[in-house]
Amino acid sequence: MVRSLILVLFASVQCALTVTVEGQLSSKFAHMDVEAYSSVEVQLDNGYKGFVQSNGAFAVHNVKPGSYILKVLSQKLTYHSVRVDINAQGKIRYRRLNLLTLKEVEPINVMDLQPIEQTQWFQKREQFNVLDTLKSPMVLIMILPMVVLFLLPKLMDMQDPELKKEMEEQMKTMNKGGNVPDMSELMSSFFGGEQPKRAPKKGVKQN
Amino acid sequence: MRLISFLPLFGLISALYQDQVGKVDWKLDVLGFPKLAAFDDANAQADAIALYTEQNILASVSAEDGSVFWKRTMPVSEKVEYLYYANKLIISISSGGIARYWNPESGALFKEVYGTLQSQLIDCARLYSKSIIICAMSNESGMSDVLVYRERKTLFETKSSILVEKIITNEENNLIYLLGKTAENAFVMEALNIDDFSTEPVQILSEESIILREFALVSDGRLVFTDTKAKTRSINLKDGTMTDISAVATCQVITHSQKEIKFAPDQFFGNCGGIVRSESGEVLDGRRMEIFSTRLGTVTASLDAQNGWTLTGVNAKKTASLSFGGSLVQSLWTKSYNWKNKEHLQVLAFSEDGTLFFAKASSEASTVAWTREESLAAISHVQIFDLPPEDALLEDPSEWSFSRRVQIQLALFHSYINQLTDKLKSGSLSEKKNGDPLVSTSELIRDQFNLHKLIFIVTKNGNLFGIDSLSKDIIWKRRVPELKECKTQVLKDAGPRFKSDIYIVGNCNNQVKYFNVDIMSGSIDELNNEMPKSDILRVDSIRSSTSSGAPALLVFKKVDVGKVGLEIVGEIDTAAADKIERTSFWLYDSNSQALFGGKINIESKTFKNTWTFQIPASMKVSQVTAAPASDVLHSQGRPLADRSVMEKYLNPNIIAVLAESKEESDLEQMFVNAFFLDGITGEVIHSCNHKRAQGPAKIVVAENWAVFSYWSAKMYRTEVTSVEFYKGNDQGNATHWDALSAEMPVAIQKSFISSEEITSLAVTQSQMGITNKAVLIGTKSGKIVSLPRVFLDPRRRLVPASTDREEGIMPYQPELRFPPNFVLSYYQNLGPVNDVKVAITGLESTCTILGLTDTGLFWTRVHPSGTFDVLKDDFDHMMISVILIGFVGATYACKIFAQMKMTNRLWQ
Repeated sequence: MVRSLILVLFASVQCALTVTVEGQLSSKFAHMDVEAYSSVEVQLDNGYKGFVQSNGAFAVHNVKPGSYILKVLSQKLTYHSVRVDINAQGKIRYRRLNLLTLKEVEPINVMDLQPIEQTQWFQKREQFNVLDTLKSPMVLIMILPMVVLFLLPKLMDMQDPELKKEMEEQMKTMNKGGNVPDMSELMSSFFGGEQPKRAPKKGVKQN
Repeated sequence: MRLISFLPLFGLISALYQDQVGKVDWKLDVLGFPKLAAFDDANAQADAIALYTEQNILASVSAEDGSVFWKRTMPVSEKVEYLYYANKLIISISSGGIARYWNPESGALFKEVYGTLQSQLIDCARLYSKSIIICAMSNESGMSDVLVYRERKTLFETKSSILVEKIITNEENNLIYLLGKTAENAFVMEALNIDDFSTEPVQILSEESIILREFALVSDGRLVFTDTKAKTRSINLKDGTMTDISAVATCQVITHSQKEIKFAPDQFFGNCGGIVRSESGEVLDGRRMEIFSTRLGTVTASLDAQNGWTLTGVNAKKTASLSFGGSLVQSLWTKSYNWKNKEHLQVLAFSEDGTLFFAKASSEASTVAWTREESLAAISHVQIFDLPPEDALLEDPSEWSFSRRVQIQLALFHSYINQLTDKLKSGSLSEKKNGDPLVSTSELIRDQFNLHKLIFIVTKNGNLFGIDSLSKDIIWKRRVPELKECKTQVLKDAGPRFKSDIYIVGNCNNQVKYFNVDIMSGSIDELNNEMPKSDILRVDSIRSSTSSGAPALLVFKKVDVGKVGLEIVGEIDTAAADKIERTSFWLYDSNSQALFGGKINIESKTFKNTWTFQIPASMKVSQVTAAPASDVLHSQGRPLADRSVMEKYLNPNIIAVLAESKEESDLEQMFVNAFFLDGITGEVIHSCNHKRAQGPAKIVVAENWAVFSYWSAKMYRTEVTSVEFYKGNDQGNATHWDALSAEMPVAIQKSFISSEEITSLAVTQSQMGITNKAVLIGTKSGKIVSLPRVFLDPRRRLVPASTDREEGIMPYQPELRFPPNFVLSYYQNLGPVNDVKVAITGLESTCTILGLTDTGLFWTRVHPSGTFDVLKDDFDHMMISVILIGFVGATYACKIFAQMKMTNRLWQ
């Protein structure tokens, strides 16, 4: 009887046991002004939460034994989440959160909780950049033939009479097949529309 | 690595640009019903006012315009008991004795101080000269600990030999009086020295115990109180003598919060059955009196018969009168300060209808400077309405003749020219618009894309609000006390034309209230039909095709266990009756946890129950839901890599029931069950069971799929399950869904781990259903996340097949992460999101959403597939025009050059 009474008492004491989870955010990335942590909160499951002081310290009070996920809610930075295990004696264990398994124990230092990165909430606006324009496929399609047209002939030695001859022959054979219209001619006929001009031009060529 | 090859899939996800913040979204901060307030009484020009509300929110608001500087939801395990504003810091003292020092404007936590936390806070007092706060706690031995909070020093703890009940300070004598009782229940006083907190011997005031419930401190050092026998007595703290006061012997002492003798009023007042008397027994004006003891002196406020307040300033010289609407004022706070050699008063009043008033009063003028609507902290119903279209759009375009069309186009062109000339005249053409770039007019008419809406809100205390979705302004507010604590419902009145008057039904303690509301103006009429009174399950409306009045009501009632009765309010014509008799109904009774389905007979006024689905008593139903009525399905099947099509199960009548076990401690006995029923036959088409899981469980249903979340008690994490229903490969050619001949669907199901605790689930909608769906997840950490549904595809495989990429299925990964650019509420901490409401817009790509939390509303819009039907807002019209003009110019230049070249050639 007495023993069971003691057990009951012990159990009730255990039920009332609560602990304070304390920690400190690392000052990495955070500028050390007073406002740096002005809206940063620390959240545990079941509505437990704490506020971060100007020096980065935080405390979550009256936490009952159990296993919790500790999250730092910051407007600017992303922090590692921490798995907080509190046993019935009020002993606290901190480890890196791994949602896939409960067994893995990778300790994490909550007295110097490191941010991972600055949170990228927003998309970046595309800005006009010459390099980006050059990289675009349309521009590449336009530029490559230009290179072939203008640069390649210059690279070749035009003084060599044999090569010159060969080229001329090649040109002749090519011109035979397709009648490629002259660009400026095409444009002027398109917009000018004065057809009769074509005849004298041909005459000139024949001359 | 595997994910990288699937990245092109998400190129369409459109997050917000930083410069768009506040243009398409807004947040309406609500604080709740104030319990404590504190002014900076030492600083005449202080702009901030500290507030603590019943919703457990600590906030600082601007005295200038009532805007919120900052607000913090306090942890659930603690309540703020004392609030001070001293030395340009807001100091909150929570249960357990946790003191926090906040910056009034930025909300930065300067310091947090706490003791052992296992004891209970009894009373606190503030020392004005040293900016010290003294609190008494009860400890395990039955005596009190005294905690001294000092702004720049560490916490000082000392023990008292008595159980303290009240702390009174006397800074002139350098003493703190601790009043309380000994172990023998004698009423005693112990004095502490302010400098070193050393104690003086305990002085017995009375042998019998005294409870100080109503008490007031008087500046001559007396503590006046009403004892348990309703007699007024006083203790002289300086010599410890106790006397009865005969003049106001049977009156209740009017209390005030001052605990410093120096600043206490020089007399006390008693409330004698609605009559206010002064210490000498003199009857004062007013039926209610509030006393505020400030650093400058005592301010009194008395309520007159016309609900107006008369304020008497320090030295009883200046009076001002104020009135705070028609409602009863629940609580009042004031600050008195001198400005330009004149006394000014600031008054904060909270009235019963949920309005917070802030008034400035001086001998010359007294005005209410601003008001805040705090009843929005407890919302019972929200609906988003389209605005009325302009006249031209009211007509059906298919009926237009050619000349009519030309006329309308001309009219539109004319109005555009008019707008343009107006802008040119006022010089606002080049001004950058601050508001939504896609909404052309801020008037309350439907805009081109139907993005501008009207939010209709019913609060739990019976207030109705109409809120403009563009400016977040409250357009109208109506108080309908009849709708207090009611389950409100807006009756669907589907019609091709816009109507601004709607009908709402309130189910108030099993009594039906029927109202007609004009959502544009807020005018409201109660329809006094004969209303049914007991056990109402559901109310529906039927509009007769002939009459234009209020629609008739179908009231489903619980008659007996498992039996549903029907009552009809109003007239139903035969055409409507015929239609309604062919419709199947389902209803849910939350008391007996049962679903009923069946048809109704108008003539005999009966409900013919065809099926019942009873949830066992060992389970607790978390949610019963169906797909939204506006849900449109665009494609009937899903093409597979082998060029066949997997047909979707297109049952429009799926009802989802999510239930959890009532077990709270034994992990092995916990479970969460999801049932999917056919609404016509009551057949269970699919059910799933998750062991070792518990609530909070949420579910959302759309098209041929459902997503639900629950807490995995074994693994200590939130999990999400996604279910999809398919019919198989054979193509049905039916144009209608036939519930009776439908075959059982194939259900594909997969579970994921969520990295966030989920408090609400919703789904995006669009006009045609072409846009991909995104699941809107409201989290405990105060975010609204828009998660594209591809992530929740149950066909994601751990080992991807070669065909998966072609079908756009990602490889399975157990953990669902929510990248920051999926968060619609970006860096705002909204507080736990209770619900997300979705409204369709005129743009296929876009829907608008309203997030509801206990501490406010959040409005924004979502593009689940990107903004494919609208130009990006950074589209550069100028650049395009310059290039176009440049090209035309260049062409003409070419022509001239070509001509010149040709002439030159001819001349050669």
